[in-house]
Amino acid sequence: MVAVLARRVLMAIPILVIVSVVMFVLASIVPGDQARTILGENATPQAVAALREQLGLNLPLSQQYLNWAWGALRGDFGASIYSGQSVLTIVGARFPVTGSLMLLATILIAVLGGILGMLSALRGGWIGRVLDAASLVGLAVPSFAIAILLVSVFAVSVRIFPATGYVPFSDNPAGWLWALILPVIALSLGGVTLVAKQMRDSVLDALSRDYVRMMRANGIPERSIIFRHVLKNASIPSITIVGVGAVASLTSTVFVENVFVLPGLGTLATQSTLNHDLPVLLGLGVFFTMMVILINLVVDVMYGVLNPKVRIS
Amino acid sequence: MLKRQKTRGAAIAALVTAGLVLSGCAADDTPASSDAQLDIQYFGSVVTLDPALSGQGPSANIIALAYDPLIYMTPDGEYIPDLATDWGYTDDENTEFEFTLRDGVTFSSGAELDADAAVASMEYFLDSGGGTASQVGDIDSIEAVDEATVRITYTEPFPDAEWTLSQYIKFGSIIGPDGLADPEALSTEMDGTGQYVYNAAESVANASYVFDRNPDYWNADAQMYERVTVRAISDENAALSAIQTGQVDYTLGAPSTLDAAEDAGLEVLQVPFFNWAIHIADRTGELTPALEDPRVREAIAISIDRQAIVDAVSPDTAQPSSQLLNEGAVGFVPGLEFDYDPERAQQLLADAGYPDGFSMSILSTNSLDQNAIRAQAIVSYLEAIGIDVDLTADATGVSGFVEESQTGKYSATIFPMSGTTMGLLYPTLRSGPRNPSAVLDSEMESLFSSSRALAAEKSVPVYEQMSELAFANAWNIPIFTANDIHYIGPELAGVKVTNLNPIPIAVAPDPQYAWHPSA
Repeated sequence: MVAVLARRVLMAIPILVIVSVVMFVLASIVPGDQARTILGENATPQAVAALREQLGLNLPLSQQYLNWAWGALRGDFGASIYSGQSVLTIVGARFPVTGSLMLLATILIAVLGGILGMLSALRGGWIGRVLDAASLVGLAVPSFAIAILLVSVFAVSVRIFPATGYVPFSDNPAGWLWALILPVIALSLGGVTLVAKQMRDSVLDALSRDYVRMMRANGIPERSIIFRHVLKNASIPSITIVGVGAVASLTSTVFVENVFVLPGLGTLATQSTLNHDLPVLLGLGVFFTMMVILINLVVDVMYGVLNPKVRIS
Repeated sequence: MLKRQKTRGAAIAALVTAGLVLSGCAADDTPASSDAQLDIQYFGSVVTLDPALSGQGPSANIIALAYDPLIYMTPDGEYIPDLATDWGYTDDENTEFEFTLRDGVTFSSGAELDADAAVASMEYFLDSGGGTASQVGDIDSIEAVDEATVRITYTEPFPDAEWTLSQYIKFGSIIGPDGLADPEALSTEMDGTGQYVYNAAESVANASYVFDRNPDYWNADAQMYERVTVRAISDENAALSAIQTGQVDYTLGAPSTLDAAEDAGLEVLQVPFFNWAIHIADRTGELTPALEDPRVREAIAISIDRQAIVDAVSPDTAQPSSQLLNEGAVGFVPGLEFDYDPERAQQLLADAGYPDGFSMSILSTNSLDQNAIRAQAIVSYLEAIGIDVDLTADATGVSGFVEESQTGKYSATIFPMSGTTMGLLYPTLRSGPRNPSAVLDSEMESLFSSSRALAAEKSVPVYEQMSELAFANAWNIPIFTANDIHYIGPELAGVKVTNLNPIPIAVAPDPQYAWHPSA
């Protein structure tokens, strides 16, 4: 297990390098110029040229990348060309928002998805059919559309939840939860239905296995069969889906944060893309990549906990 | 002695009379200051908190909270004292401008405002080369005449000193000496004399900016709020939700949310702002020789059914336009309009030697014109008279569009213009995306330069001549003016916009112009 983890962590290094190089190249071939962006449309060509010089935009691309990477290695990810704040400070200030969203969404996806899937498998019938229909909707309708619908119903028409904004947990835990309920629902709907479907199929599959029949024949109580054996085995494939859902919610935050005006990494990504704010974009790229690697690592660990065979390989 | 021209703005305001004030608010509802809080929306991402680098446009609403300008421009376009109590040109050529500073004003860091501090701040502004630095005229020197008097000397006549020292250009938004000592910190900290003090601890960059009442402000009567929060909301639906539910008191509106805002009972203000136009880029006819012929340009101008475009694209928030300036701006000439006449347009093309039309390329931008809908509507009329248009819609943001326009690949661009006087608008038409080849009309140039040394009221006839000449030349062919739309929540009063000052800001040195809680 330790070897598996160590290998994963080592693999993260080339991935981070590749992602940052690709982002650097992509961002630099997008037309538009940081210097022009900062100075505005009325700036003189001389002023633009001077600022390009000052920002190091005239250096060869490889040199610009190496300068950035050398700084990043020492923990200096540069500063926003707009606000002048350091990228680490900006990302640090905004991570709690996105982190809260992802954490709550992942918990909701795992718990609600698992419960619904189990119910559907054990009780079957109409729950299963509703789940099938709901999963179609959950997958087909993008999270930002659900978000807009939720705002118009539960924030504007019926004023239960705030329409926009974020309350830090340290200021007011209840307000924090209250402000995040709608965004979390919008973020997790697709994931919940996916996990529920997966869970139902796995539970049904497990229930049809010989070991269940054997246990039933030996008079082991149904409750014990389901919770101690079936659920554990059926959870393994669902954990992969929860992991996929967590990664997907990371990208969905870009849209959902915009609808709810949450000052998280998603809105930051949109703004810095529009602004050609390269240092922030690169910092975000590295951060998002690390998040994805971390989520996958957690999924692997949980796999190992649930399934001894993985631990040995 | 100074030849005072403090009435310049008033003169302009008086010259342009009827139908300007589009706000419905009464003047007598100014209450005393209270412990209320104001929450306003900011559209777009905030550039920086440094006045010198913050650019033009709505960022004024953030900067002005903490930085007083030397001269304040009221919603009616009048200039009134702020940090400067008295000002004017000292010569007849508009090359030397002096102002006197208010006594007893301190910066948030505690330092006192004097002429040296003002000079240092203005020199920093020029050195920083920010987005508005190119608009303040060619300055020879800025010097402290005595402890309270500052003199700006221009190398050429420059009549718009008041405008550049107002809250919008920010040349006159004076930064304290302690702030200037560490210019890099100015992007995240503020050291001004304004009504509010920036609360960095509670603010999140590009999300929310918190300002607390400045206990040492020089005119406590004008401070209407205990706290002001500016929230960056760029999604128009989110902005509407926020104001509908009382989370903010003011937002910029959008045509797509106008009906919903009216249904929700919000106060809606509109004022013409962006004047969309075709700008002929290929003025020497290198790509498209036809465009050199004035008959061809007139044909283009009259081939477009402006009212139909307005009805289709933005029926409640736009109006047809045929002049560089919006109606009500200084230099607008009533009655100067292009009438839609496709038959005459085709006749003009035939007279010019293009009976079967010709082809041209046009660059537009998706950043201000989503999916290039406006541009496509305009282009469809050109194609109807036989002009084959290759339309490119740049999707990389305004800076990308500006760069692309300079490549010389396009015969024309479609882009908005804006300016409240011809003197302020014309400089933006001499180069950049509205004239990438920077080829200038000599008659236009001589009119413009003759206007520079004139007093405000005397420049108006020259500005009108420029409007007429631009109409005849049709190098810039206006199509329609889109309104800026503002939503005001029930808790807020005192917001006002006019053709002479279309950008509302929350604070004013005089209580009668400040936003305040509704009674």
